Amino acid sequence: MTIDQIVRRTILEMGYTIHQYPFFYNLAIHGLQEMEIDTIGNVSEVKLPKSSGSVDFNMGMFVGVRYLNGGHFISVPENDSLSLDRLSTAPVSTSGNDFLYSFGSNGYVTVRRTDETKAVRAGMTIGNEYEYNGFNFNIHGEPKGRLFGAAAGNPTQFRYSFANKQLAVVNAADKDVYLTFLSASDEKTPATVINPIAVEALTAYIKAKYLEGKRSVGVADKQLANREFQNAHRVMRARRFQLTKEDILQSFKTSYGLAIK
Amino acid sequence: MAKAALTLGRLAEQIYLLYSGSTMLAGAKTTEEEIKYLLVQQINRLLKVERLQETNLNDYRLPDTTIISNYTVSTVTADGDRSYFDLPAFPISAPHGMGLYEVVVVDTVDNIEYEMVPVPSGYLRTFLSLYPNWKNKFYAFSESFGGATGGWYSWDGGRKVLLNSADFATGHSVKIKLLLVDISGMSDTDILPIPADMEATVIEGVMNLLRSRLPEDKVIDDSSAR
Repeated sequence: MTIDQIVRRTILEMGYTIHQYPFFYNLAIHGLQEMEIDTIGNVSEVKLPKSSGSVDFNMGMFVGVRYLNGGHFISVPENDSLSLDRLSTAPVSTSGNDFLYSFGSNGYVTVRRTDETKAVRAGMTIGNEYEYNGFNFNIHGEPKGRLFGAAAGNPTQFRYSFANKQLAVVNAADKDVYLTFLSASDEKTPATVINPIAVEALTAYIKAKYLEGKRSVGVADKQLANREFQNAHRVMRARRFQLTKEDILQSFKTSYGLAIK
Repeated sequence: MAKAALTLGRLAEQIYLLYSGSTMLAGAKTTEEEIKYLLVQQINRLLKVERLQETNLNDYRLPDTTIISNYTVSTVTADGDRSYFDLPAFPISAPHGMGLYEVVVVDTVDNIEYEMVPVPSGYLRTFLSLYPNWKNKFYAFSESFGGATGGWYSWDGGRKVLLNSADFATGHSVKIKLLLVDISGMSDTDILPIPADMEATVIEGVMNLLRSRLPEDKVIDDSSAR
């Protein structure tokens, strides 16, 4: 269904006229942002280049970084300790393990590469062969769990600066790194098609938010409408992630045992 | 004698009979035409008071279909990036411009109809700031799966109705629905579009108006002293 159809469907179900269209359309667009899933499929992906050049993409909002490992994408963790200033001094180069991407407005990406020294790497806490990320252990030597499941060695990490339009990715020379982002050119229009599993939740959102602002509607009815939205939203998430409360409980039962002391 | 259905002429004569106590004579002061205008004015008032409030128009619910009049406007005038057309009649006042009930732009060349979405004039700039891709575009989706949004119109209650694109000024006409009973399109023999339970109220309303008239002034002089 398109946004247009959802708006009209809500008009029909609530017994209103077309004069309600702009108000419901407004709520529909805001509702899409509340859905927490990519309802209109505008999360895009681009493979980051290994050297400077033009890349055909228009980033509206940064989402994340991941790399391809065999047939699977591995999410790259964020590390706020990475120094963008430090990496900015790196030369515009085609070799080096640590990357700094600067995004220009016209899709041009400047790539700086270097191999940071061990001391610098330690300062940035991006790992080196002498130190097994000491900050992940408490004073008793017990792991805090932050690296649970992560491979030993120098992990790939990123830091993104919205203000500078810069992305640092370290330990990534041998990896195909992908940038995921919300495309700025994907404008929502009445003809934008919505993910089918979000239709019910979006309709319920419009109803609940519209009734919320009406003085003639009783508090109980408003609460009921809101509860209907929350339930529709829950169902949508469950379908999207195929994860029910039972699944979560089952996961607790099978995954957790006594902690090691 | 077969009973006539309730037509404008029939009702006007009935009122004249009640008012004057005699059948209609040529040259009577309160002419049939005048009564007809009073009748339609009264009907329009009652349609709003009785029919629309029954259907809760304040909550923008669907109005009763008896009060919808259809028009086709063939003149659309370009106005910068936009275009506009003039209303052929003024509808009853209703919240959110519901008096102008429907606007459909017809592409007379390709014979495609676009339904227009109303954006209230008070919200027009706010709406376009929020959704700039609505500014000049119109969406021709009527043939596809995506619905039939043509574009927007904006009406501030005056004669002009603004359309979102200047393209509509050539090769297009506009079909509109107005909430009113229009006397101009009605002959004496047309059946009045009012429900049976409203007839007596309409007659009473017109009679009240007639009774409060001043008596006929037979003296030819400056009547401002009356």
